[in-house]
Amino acid sequence: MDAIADRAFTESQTNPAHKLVDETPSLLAVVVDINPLEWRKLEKEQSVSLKQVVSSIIVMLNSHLSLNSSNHVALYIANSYSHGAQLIYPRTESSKSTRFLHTPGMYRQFRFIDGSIVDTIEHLLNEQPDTLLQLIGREQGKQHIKGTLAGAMSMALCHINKIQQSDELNALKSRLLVVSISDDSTLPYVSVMNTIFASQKMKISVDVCKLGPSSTFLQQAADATNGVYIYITQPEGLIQYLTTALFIDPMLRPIIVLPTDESIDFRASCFITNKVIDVGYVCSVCLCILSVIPEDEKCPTCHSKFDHNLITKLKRKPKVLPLKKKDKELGDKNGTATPESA
Amino acid sequence: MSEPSASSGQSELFKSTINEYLDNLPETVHLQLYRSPETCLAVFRLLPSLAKFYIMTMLFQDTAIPSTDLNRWIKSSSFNGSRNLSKIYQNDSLKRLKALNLLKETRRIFTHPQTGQTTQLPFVSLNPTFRQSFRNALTGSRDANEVVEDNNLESIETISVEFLDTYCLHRWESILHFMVGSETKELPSVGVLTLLRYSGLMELPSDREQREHLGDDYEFHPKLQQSSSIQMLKNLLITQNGFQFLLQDINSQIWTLLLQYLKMSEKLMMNPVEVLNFIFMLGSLELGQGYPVEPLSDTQKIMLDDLIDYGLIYTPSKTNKKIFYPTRLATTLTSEHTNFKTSAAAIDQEITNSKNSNNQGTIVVETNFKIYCYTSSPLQIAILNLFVHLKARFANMVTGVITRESVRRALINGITADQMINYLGSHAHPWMVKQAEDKLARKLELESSIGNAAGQRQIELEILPPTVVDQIKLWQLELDRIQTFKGYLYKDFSTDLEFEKLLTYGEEIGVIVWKDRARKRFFVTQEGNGQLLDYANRIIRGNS
Amino acid sequence: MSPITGSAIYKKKAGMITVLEEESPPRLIWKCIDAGVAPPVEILLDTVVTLQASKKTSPKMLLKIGIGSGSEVKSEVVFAFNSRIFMDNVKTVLQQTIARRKSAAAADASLAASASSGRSTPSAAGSPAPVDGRQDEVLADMLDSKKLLKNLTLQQKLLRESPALMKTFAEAVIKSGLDPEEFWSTRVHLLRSFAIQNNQKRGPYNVLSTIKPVASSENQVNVSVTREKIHEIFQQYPIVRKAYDDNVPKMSEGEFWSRFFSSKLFRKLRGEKVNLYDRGDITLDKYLFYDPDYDGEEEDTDIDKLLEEKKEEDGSRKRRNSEQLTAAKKKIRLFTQDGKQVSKFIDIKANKEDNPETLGNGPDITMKEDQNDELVGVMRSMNRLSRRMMQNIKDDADMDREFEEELELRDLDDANTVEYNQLEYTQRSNLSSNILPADVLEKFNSQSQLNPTPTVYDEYMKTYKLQLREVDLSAVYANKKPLLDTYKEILNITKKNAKSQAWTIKLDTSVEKQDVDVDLPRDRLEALRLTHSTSVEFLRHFWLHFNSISTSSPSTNPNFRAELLQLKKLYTSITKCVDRVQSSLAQLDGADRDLGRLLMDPLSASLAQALTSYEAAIVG
Repeated sequence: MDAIADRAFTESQTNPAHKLVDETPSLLAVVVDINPLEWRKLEKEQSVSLKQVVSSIIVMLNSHLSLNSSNHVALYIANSYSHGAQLIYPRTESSKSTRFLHTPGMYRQFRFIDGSIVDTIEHLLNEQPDTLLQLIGREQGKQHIKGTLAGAMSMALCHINKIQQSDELNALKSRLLVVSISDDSTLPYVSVMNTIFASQKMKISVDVCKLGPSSTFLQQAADATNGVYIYITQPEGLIQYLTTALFIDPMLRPIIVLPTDESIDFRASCFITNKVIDVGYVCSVCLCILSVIPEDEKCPTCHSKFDHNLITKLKRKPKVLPLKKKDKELGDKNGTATPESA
Repeated sequence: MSEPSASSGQSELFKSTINEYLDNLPETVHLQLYRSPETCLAVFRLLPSLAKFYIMTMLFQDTAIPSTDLNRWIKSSSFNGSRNLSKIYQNDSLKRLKALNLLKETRRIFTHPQTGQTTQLPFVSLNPTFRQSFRNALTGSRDANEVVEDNNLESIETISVEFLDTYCLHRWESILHFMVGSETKELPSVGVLTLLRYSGLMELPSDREQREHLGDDYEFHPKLQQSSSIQMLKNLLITQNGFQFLLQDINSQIWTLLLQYLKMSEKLMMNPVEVLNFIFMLGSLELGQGYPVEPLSDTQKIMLDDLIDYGLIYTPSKTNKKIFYPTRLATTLTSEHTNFKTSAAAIDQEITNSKNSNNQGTIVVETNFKIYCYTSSPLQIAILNLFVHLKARFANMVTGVITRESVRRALINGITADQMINYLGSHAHPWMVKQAEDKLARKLELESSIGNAAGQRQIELEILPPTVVDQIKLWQLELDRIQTFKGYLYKDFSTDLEFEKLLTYGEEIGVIVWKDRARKRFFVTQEGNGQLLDYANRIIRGNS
Repeated sequence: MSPITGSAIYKKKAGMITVLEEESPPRLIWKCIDAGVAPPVEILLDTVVTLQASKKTSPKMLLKIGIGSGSEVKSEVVFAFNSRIFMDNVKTVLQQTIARRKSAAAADASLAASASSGRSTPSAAGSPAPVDGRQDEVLADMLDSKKLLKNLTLQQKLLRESPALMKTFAEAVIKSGLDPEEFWSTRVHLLRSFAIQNNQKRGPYNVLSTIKPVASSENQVNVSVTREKIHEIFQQYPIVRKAYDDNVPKMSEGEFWSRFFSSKLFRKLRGEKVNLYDRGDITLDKYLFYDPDYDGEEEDTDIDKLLEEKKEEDGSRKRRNSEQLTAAKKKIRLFTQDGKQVSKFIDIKANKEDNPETLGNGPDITMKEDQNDELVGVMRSMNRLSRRMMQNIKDDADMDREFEEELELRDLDDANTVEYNQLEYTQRSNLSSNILPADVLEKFNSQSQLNPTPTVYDEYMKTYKLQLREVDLSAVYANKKPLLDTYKEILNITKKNAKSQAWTIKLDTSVEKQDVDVDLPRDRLEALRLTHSTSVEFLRHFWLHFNSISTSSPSTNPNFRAELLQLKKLYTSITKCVDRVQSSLAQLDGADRDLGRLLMDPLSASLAQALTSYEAAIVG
C-alpha cells in the first residue's frame, strides 16, 4: 500500500533487512533412538553413552527455548523394546514428580521441561532391559523386530501438525531433528519414504544427527526436505554439533549455507529386502520396487498378478556362445552366419 | 514504512527503543549486566536471529575465531537484490552484537609462511562474562561467587490470578484515564505523575508555555529534586508524545514507561544494572506466586514501591512488605509480541468473565467509514475521540464516523496514521477478524489452485477494510509533503574511483539515502556516517 | 478497351481512323467522311513493317506506315493528324503490335520445337488433392524402418550433414568393425526425421508474383517463363487458362504470353493496383472483369443438364477428382448444399448468417449496385486465397467431433467415481515364504540389528538402567579440544558447500555451455572423448542383444541364432575397446594420466561389467 507515494529517498535500512528474516517462533521436535542393543554397541566401539547424548540434547532444547519466548519443543523416543515409539515431552498427563535437577536459580521454564524429560526417560530406560530379557526368551532368528524410528517420526509430524493448526496466528514454523544410531536394516523403507514425503508437504526440514553406522534413508530424508545430515565423528563435541550445525532455524535457512553432507546416495531400495539397488524390477501397477521376483508371482503391495510368461522370460538366464573355441569349430559354427569382420 | 503485521510493528517499536537504550550503555554496565543469567537470556531474546545464531556457534568455544568465518555461513546468491539484503542483515546483526559488547574484535598478526608477509587478520570472540552466564543459564549451574537469588523458593502463598489481573488493570487504567483527562476518582501517585512529566508524555501548563515560547530550541530538563506538589501535578496536560503513547498496545506502553524510569533512575543515582536485572528477573517469575522481599537489594526495594504504583507488582498491604506478587503485566515483560496479544486478549477475557465494566471494547469498522464500538469504558471512548468523530452514545455502544477532520486533528496532534490503524486493528471485534480470516483462506485457496506461489506470499490478513486504511494513510500523506533525513552530504570527489568505492561500500551496508551519479554526490544517514568514515580511513591508511 | 477512333487525313481527304486491336487479325481502317469519295483503307497490322512519325516539334503531324512482309516495305501509307495526342496513341498501338509480332515470330520458332511438350504440361495439370493422397503413400513408404535402413543414399546424406555422427560412424563402423546395420538400427529416428525434413516441399504460392518483367535495352521487356510456371499459372488462375484456350488458336503461344504479361490482367492477378487508364492489352483485358476462378465451363449454360450430370455422379459413384469440378458445378453443389437437405426453418448454420435485424433487407455489401470495385475485388481475392488454403487441409471429421465433445456441458452426467487400487504394503516382519524363498527370508530376518541374542544381556544393561539418575548438564561442554575440532569440522563442511553452491549457480546462469575445466591438452581430450563415445556405442549394442537373448528363446525369436553370433562379435569388440582405452591412457603421462584415469574410470567399469556378464553366461 505504500506504492501510493513513490519516495525519491530510499527507506532507512533497518526495515527491509528485518523483513528478510521474520522473528517468528518455531517448534523443534526431536526423535532419539534409545535401543539398548545399539547403545551397547556404540558404547563399546566409540565410548559414547546415552547419558552424554541425552544431556547434550537437553542443553540444546534449552537453547532452542531461549531463542524466543514462544518457542516450543517436543521429544520422542524410538526403538524402545517396551513401547516402540513414545512421546516424552509434552506429556498430556501432568507428572507430579518434577524433580529439581539443578540449583534453584535456573530459568523456570528450562527447569520444568528438563526435569520432566529426565524423569520420563529414566522411567522408560528402567523398563528396557526387562523387556529385552523377555524377547531373548522367545524363539531365535525367526522373529524380526521392527525398528520404530519411522513411527516416531510420524508421531512427531502429527504433533507438529496439531500445534501448527491450533496456533491462531499461523506464524509457527517447525523442524524435526532425528538422532539415530542404527543402520538402515532397522528402518522400514516405505514408511520412511512416506514420512519424508509428508515432511516435504508440510515444509518441515528434517535434520539428522548420525552416530554409529551411516544411513542412506536418512541422508535422502535430509536432502529432500532441505535439512542437514551430519555424521558425528567426535562424539565428545556433540553439543557443538547440536548448537551449530543442527540449530539452524527455519527462518534462517534461506540465507544460511547448510553444513550438510552433500555426497548422497540417491539410489532407491527394494521394498522387500531393503537393499539399495541399481537395477531392479518395478511393478507396473503400483510402482513398487523389487530386487527379487516374488515366488508367488504377485506384487507384494498391490497384489496384482504378474504375467507368468514374462516372469519365465525374466528368470531365464542368458545363454551365450563360448569364446575360446578351436578354430575349426569356429569355422563350423559360422557356416551360415554373416561373415565376421575382423 | 509498511510492516508485515500490526503486532510485529509494535514489537519492532518497542524492541528498537529498548535496543537503543541498551546499546547506549557503557561497557562496564554491560559487563555487570551480563553477570545475571536472566538478563543474558532477556538480552539474547532481543537480538536478531542471525546474531543469536552467531552467538550459539561461539558459545561453547573458548578461543577466538577469525571473523571471516562468520561470513562463510551466509549464502551467496547470484541475484543482487537478495544478496544485498542478506549482507545488510548480517551487518546489522554484527553491529548490534558489537554495540552490546557481546562481540569483541581483536587483531592477530600472521606471517605468511612462504612470502614472509605479515597480515592482520581480525578475530572475534564472545564476551567471556556473557558466555559464562549464558552457559549457566542453559545448564542451570551457578558460579560460585554469584549472588544466589533465591526467588524461587517455595511460594509462600498464592493468590488467585484473577485478582491479580483486575488489580493490575485497574492500576494501569487509572494512569491512562488520567492522561486522557477523564474524571477519575483517585489520582495516580506522585511518583507516577512525576514520571509522566519527566518522560514528556504530559506537561505542566508552565512547561507548555515555555515550549511554545522557545519553539524548537526547547529542551525539557525538569529538575527532579524539586518535587512538585500534587496540586500542581493535577494540572498536567497531555502532549503529542502522550497521544502516541495512548494508542500503543499495553506492553509497548509499559516498556516505554520503564525505559523512562530507567533514565530517571540514572539521574537518581540508582544502579541501572540492578534496575535492569530486576526488570528482567521479573519477567521470569511465575504468575500467582508470591516471593519474599528479603533477598532483594536496596535499590530493588525502592523499585518495588514504584512498580507497585504502575501495577506491575502487588503487595497485600503497604506496611507488611514481606511478600510481593508479580502481576501479569510483569511476567509478560520479556515475552514476544505474540504473547502480548494473547495476554491482552487474556486480560480481556478475564475482565469480561468477571463482569468488570472496564473492558477493552470491541470495534467494528465499516467500509463507509462508520465505526461502532461496543464499550462503555470512558477511557476507550476518550481514546476513540482522539481521531474519530463520535456521533452517538448508547448504553453499551458508541458510534462515530472517521472523517477527514477528525483524522487531521489527530495527525496534527502528533498521532500517526499507523498508530490509528494499529489501534483499530488490535481492538477489532472478533467477527471482523473471523471474516477477514475467511477471506484470506479463500484467497489463498484461489491462488494455490492456480499455482501462483508469489501471489500466495503476498496475501495478508486484512482485518480493516482496505478503503479505510488507505484513506487514513492518504490523509496523512496530505500533511507529509516533505520528509527530512539528517545526515551528511558527500561531494566534490577528486577521483571517480573514490566516489565509486565509497558508494559501493555505502550501499552494501545500506546507509546511502540518496545518490547522484552524474554529479558524484551522495547522502549518508547520520548513523551510518561513522562506518563510512572508518572505511575511508582504512583505505587511506592502506594506500599510504 | 474500345477501339481507338479519331480523325485523320489521308491523301488530302478527311476521314476517321479506327484501330481495331482485338479483332483478329488486328487492323487499321480509314474511312472517308464522305463515303463515296474515297475507298476505305484497311491495313492489316500484321503487315505493318515500319512506322515513322514526324517529330514532336514540327507543326505537321504525319504518320507513315510501311506495309510489307518480312522486312520489305512494299507500300507506304501516310496519315496526317489534327491532334497530336491521337497521333501518339495510334503510333503507340502500332508500335506495340509490331513489336509483338516480331517477338512472337522469334518465340514461335523456339517454341515450335517444344510446342508439343508445352501443350502437354497444361493438360497434365494434376490436382492437389490426389497428389496429397499419393504423397502420403509415398511418404509412408519412405519412412518405413526397413526401407530407411536400406536407403544408403539417405544415410550418406545424413552423415554428410552432421559431422559428429560422421565421426562416430567412422570410428565405430569403419575403424572398429561395427556392423553398419547395427549402427543405424539404433538411429532410425534420426533417419526418419532427416527424410521428412528433406521431403518437405514448399506449398503453392502465388507464382505470378515471382515473374518479374525485366526491362532490357531496345525498349523490350523480357519475362522469363518456365514450363512449370506456366503450369502453375494455369492451376492457380483458371481464367488465364480460359483466355489461353480462347485465344491461342488465333495467335501464337508466344504472342499470347507476351501480351498477357503486358496486360492489365496480369497486373491485377498479381495483386497490383490496376489503373484503368494504363495501357494494357485489349484482348486479354477482357478477362479483367471475370472471376479468376472461372474456367469457362459456365458456357454450358444448361443448368439442368449440369444437375442431371451431378445426379449421375452421385448415383454411379464414379470416382472423380474433386478438382475437376468446374466452378459452375461447385456453385451448384453449394446451392444444393452438398446433398444434405436441411429445412430452412431449422437451418441454424444458414440462419446464422442471415441477420435481418442488423443488416435489414438490403442485399449483401458485395451484391449492391454501387459496390466499390476495389473493395469487392479485395474481398474476393482474400476469399479465394482462403478457399485455396482450406482446400489443402485434410478434412478431419474426428477433429470436429472432438471439438464438439469439448464444448458439451457435462454437469448433468453421472459423476465418475475413481476406483482406487488398494495397496497393502508388506512389512518386513510379515514377509512370508510366499514372497521370498525360505533361506533368503531367514537371512533377512536375522539381519535386523534389533534382534537380540542371549549374549547381549550383560553388565551393560545395569549401567544402562541407571544412566540418568544423576545428570549434570554442565558436563556437556567439559572438554575443550573436541569442541574446537568439531567447530572446525562444521566450518569446513560449510565452506565446501558454499563453494559448490556458488559453482552450481554460476553454471545455471551462464548462457553458453561451459566446457569442463580439465587440464588436459586439447587433442588428448578429444581422443579420450572419441574413445569414450565409440565404446559407449558398442556397449549399447551389446546390451541390446544381450538382454533380448536373455529374455527370449530360439522359439520366440527368429533371429536368435543371428543375435548370438552378433553378440559374440560384440564381445570381441568390447575387449578391443578396453585395449583402446588403455592405449589412449598410456599416451598421457604423469598427472595427466591420473586425471585421464579418473575420467575414464566409469567407462572401464562398465566395460568390465559387460565382459563379466557375458562370461558368466557362457554355456557349454
